[in-house]
Amino acid sequence: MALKRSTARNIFIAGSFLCFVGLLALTADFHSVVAERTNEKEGLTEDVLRGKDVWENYNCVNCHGRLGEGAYYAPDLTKAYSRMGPGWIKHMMLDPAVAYWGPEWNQVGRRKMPKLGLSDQEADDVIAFLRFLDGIDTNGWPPPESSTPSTYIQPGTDAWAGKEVFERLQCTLCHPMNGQPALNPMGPDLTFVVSRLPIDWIRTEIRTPQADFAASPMPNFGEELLPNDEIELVIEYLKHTNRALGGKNIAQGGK
Amino acid sequence: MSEQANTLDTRTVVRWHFIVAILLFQLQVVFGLLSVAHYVFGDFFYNHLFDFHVTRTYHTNLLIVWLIIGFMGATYHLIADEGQTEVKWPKLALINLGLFVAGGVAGLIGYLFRYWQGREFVELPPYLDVAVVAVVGIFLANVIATFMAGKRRTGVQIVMLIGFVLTGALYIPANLHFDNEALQSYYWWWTVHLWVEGVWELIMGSMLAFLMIKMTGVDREIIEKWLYVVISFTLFTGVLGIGHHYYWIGTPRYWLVVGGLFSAMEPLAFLGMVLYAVYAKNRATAEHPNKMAMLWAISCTIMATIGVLHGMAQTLPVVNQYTHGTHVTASHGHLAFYGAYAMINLAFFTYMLPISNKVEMEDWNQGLNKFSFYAMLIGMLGITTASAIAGITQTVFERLLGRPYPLVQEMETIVTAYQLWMFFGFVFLAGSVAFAVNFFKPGLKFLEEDEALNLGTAEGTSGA
Repeated sequence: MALKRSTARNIFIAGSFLCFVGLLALTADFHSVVAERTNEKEGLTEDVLRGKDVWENYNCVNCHGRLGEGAYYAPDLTKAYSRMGPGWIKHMMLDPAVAYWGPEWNQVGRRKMPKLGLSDQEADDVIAFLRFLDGIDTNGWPPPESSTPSTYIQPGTDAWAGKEVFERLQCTLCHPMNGQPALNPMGPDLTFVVSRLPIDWIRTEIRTPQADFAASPMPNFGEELLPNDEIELVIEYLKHTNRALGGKNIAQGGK
Repeated sequence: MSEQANTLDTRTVVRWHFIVAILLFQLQVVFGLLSVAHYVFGDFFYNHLFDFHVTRTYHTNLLIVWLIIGFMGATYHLIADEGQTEVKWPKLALINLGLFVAGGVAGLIGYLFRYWQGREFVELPPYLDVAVVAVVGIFLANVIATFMAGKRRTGVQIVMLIGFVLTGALYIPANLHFDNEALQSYYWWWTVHLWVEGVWELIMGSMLAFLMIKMTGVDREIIEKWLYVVISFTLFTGVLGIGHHYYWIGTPRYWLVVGGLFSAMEPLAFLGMVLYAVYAKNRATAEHPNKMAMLWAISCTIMATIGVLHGMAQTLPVVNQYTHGTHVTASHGHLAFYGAYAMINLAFFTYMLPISNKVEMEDWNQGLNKFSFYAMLIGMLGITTASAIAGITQTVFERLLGRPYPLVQEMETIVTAYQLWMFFGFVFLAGSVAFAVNFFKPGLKFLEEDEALNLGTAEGTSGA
């Protein structure tokens, strides 16, 4: 071949040098825009800095990822702040075993976050750190398809209690709900029901299904089965699911 | 034996580096298995000393440390052998190795008490970072002194030295502190990416070129020219190829173009390595008796290329937007790291086995080494496939269909993939243990009929 060893060496040295210069130039450009792209002026507060230290002290990145970098043992947290909300995140950090979808999650053999013993202050700081991450312009990552708000429900809320009532009454025997098929799908899917039908109408329908449609096969849920306050809890659960999955606004007015 | 005790020469230095590296390699595999056990059994060791984030930190840190100790041992041999001299300060080299090990052990014990800097792969706390820099400095001083004292200076040596000096320098960026997490991530990649897709390839290329010169007898002029061509491809594509990590971390959008273009060309360097390794092997004047070393070296270039192509497939921005941060990345990482850096080390260890252990070729049972080669090959291909299944399933169901992460992780496909991952982890462990046993006991008859395995003893081929 015509290429000489010394020529090859010189090409290597000169070319690599040029590439490093190119990288330095692009780095300088990043420094000039990073504050704006990460909302540094407003977002980078004292608690964010403390939260970053907590994040590193507990080695969070070796289970979770942030900006898509890290281990894959647990969810990536780049947009966790807007997806899950600070309340749920705090609950998760302080008491992970019960913070999942309910007591059934906490079974032997299921993957879960260890109880790291964070203080209340540390948890708040990490949340501030996640808020900062949430504000970074990541050029559309994670992809929009996976960015829908979570259907997780924080224990202790009305929606949580409503879900328990919903399950106790075995509504999903007939109604598909949130992607879960009904055993005997005689009733309509309830996932987005509150954006289709007014709340008042739903209340009446639960009490006396035949009022509107005489041949309805749905049983009557009287006050002994379902007290008034529990109806409201179920409605909260329906509203929560509707909102979490990006349903339309709550329907207004009469039928 | 008494003769061995008072000759503190290059061979002894190299041998001790390889012993330490091989032992740490075993430990790395064990911690890999402990990590995958967390996936298979869910709350395995839950709230325990060895929670997942601990076992994974061990797994990745041990990888880096054993690879670097292997590189160091290879460097001592390579610089001295090419310079037709001995390591300048062998005693210092051994003390330095001891310091490295002591520092490493201190770091690993510290992790049990959660004393770390929680940045992926560079978890060592700052005061140990200083120690690492000091140890690498002493190493470089020793190696450069050996280089200067050599009877001749070769391109292979120069590439190795450039590779190692830059490896030392590039350890710094990831350990700097930045308030802004986007900048923290940006400079962290200067260490992580520029190591594994940049300067480590110089070390690897140099080791490969050395092995080819030694084992094939092909003219040095040709091999060194190839070496420069290959490492040119490496740095021309790899330096700005860092852009494939700068798609989604707060960086400007033009990185999608820069990263996409340069990373699409990154496999060229590895294809070049395959070409020159195969070229050299075919031009060999005589078959080298250390057949296993040749097998390891050639396979290393091929496996590395497959690993890099696997990576390239996901650097296309439209693909990466969906696969980024899933086990698809882990799948690529395992294959590429094993193919490129683990295998070049194992090739070098195998080449050095008869030399550093002072074993005659005919007294060395290559059958066990051959078993280890295939067990690790099958193990790693299985691990890669299993993690790719897990990653692709996650990509489809979480990233495309928006199903929550924990639900996807409990899907039957993924659970089965984790079980397969663990199974192939054990296959790999069998291979790595066999490799160690063969290194420490070269004559051990593990497979009685090694002739039946078509290996033969070295008689008849020892003429080379």
